[in-house]
Amino acid sequence: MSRKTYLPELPDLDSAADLAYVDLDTNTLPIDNHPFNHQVAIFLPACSLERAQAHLNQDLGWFYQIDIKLSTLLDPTFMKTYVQSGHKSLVLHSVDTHLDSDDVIVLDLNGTLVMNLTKSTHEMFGIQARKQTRADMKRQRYVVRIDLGDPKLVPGTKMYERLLWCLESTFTNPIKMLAASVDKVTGSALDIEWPAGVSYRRLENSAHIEDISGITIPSFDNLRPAACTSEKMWEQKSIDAVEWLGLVHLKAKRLSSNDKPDPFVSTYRAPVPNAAHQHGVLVTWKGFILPALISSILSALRKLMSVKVTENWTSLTVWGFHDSPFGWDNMQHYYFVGGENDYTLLLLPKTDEESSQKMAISYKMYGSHHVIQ
Amino acid sequence: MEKPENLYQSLHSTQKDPIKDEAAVKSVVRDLVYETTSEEKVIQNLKPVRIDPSPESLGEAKSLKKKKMRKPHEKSRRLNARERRAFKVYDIPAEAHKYDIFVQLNKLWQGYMAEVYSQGANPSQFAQKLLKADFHGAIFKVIKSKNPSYVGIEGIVVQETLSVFKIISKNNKLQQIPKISSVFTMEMECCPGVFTLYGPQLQFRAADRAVKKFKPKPSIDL
Repeated sequence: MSRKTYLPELPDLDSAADLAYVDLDTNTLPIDNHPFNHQVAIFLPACSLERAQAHLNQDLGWFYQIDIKLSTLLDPTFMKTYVQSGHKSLVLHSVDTHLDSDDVIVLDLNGTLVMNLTKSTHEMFGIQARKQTRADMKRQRYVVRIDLGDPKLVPGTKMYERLLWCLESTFTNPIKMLAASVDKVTGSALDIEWPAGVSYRRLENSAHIEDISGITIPSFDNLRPAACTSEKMWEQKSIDAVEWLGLVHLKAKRLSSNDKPDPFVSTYRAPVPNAAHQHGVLVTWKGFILPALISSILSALRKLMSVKVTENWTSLTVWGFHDSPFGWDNMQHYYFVGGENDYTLLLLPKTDEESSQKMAISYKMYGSHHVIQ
Repeated sequence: MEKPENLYQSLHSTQKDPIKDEAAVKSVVRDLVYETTSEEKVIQNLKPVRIDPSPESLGEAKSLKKKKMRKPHEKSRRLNARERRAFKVYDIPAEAHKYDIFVQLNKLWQGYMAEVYSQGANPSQFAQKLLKADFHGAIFKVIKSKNPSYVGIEGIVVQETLSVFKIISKNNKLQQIPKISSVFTMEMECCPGVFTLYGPQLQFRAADRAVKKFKPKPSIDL
């Protein structure tokens, strides 16, 4: 039941999103600057399970669940091998820490350690935080950014000693984190040798393939801005398309061709033109997945489309963490009521004018509280 | 018949400069004042009344007024904070910025604390005594501060003022740590345990703290 029925006077809680019509070859996609993801899913309409299994047996690598004391990150050999290395990228994200109440610590692709701290932790920490934004002030949180790839951060220097002292005195207990490392060149997952005192568990980014049958699948023929009379109409159509995709990932009953719900419950209609009693394949990967691996999935998907394994459109959806302190680039992200940090790419089939499939609709979900800087 | 007495006396002066002719004025005043009063003093204290409102005359009247309103306590005025600082009475000279010099002070303080502790080892009683104790010579460490650069500073307290602790650290650096933004910890040899002192609650001079009863603030938040 929507919030409006039982709380009619309250204003609508907007969740912001970015809708764009992108060229997959030239435009910057939301993939590369969104480092922390826990789930990736592909939907292939009108494709059989065997074909999908044959072409999409991507091994997305592995990740580690670790209990690490933050000062161990500054261990000289570990820093040199993984953090400050030119050809390896290490990514860390703290688990079970809520963005509105706990300290969230992440290490992003550029080697920056970002700590979104509570007031008391920041007062104890001892390193100057970034200037507070209005969102930070409202929640009394402080963001400390430390570039671990800085060449001045060498054992023996003042900077290093101070950082080490601060981490040791404030974060005395080990923190539960997820870690993954990829090779910057090949984009393949790498093993990490953890220093002493770190308890770790290696887990695979597991794939799960499912066939969904008996559903009404729209063809999304007229989803190009050129085919729509106005921009508003294109926006509305795109949002309807993304809504349908959302239902697919939920494996909702509303999609079924035989579904005849009571109008009091739902008056949902799939976007027209659509074809009834179709089937599609949903492939889901769960784990801690880095952007390089997602790019490889996207290229495999585009290959599939070019080889005509599937004639229609396809979709790639990625879910980020609700408690990540920032989303794309340096856009700050907060939870409050809706911490969405996800994006969807709806790849449209190639038209006769295009040489290859390249256009897609990108829908980035920013959540209810975000700060663009 | 005799001629009646002339009641009117002419004040016309026969001299060249009539203004400076005081004889006539003196004689009039002599008649009016008491016998023992000196007419010269009376004339001195007389206020001149200017009939013509010329600018010079008005200006003189104003300056006379101003002189009267100025406070006469020039000699017994108190020094303000800027002047006090300029005298540098309470500053420790640069040659004395050495940790080794103050280690002896710390030893004295430890002895003083041992004496206080021996008077009553009950924790709550001891804590009350500590509130009134003198901290000169104690080893303080800043554990929390609104200003991150103060966190981690450890050393001997050299001076305590209303709002600041002056601490000298092992690398011979004398630093002023404001009380209002910091939380300190203190350890002593006689008693096990670490004592936490909340700076915003201790905004008193050392002498005042020993004597006055002070009310704690509602929150220990910085």
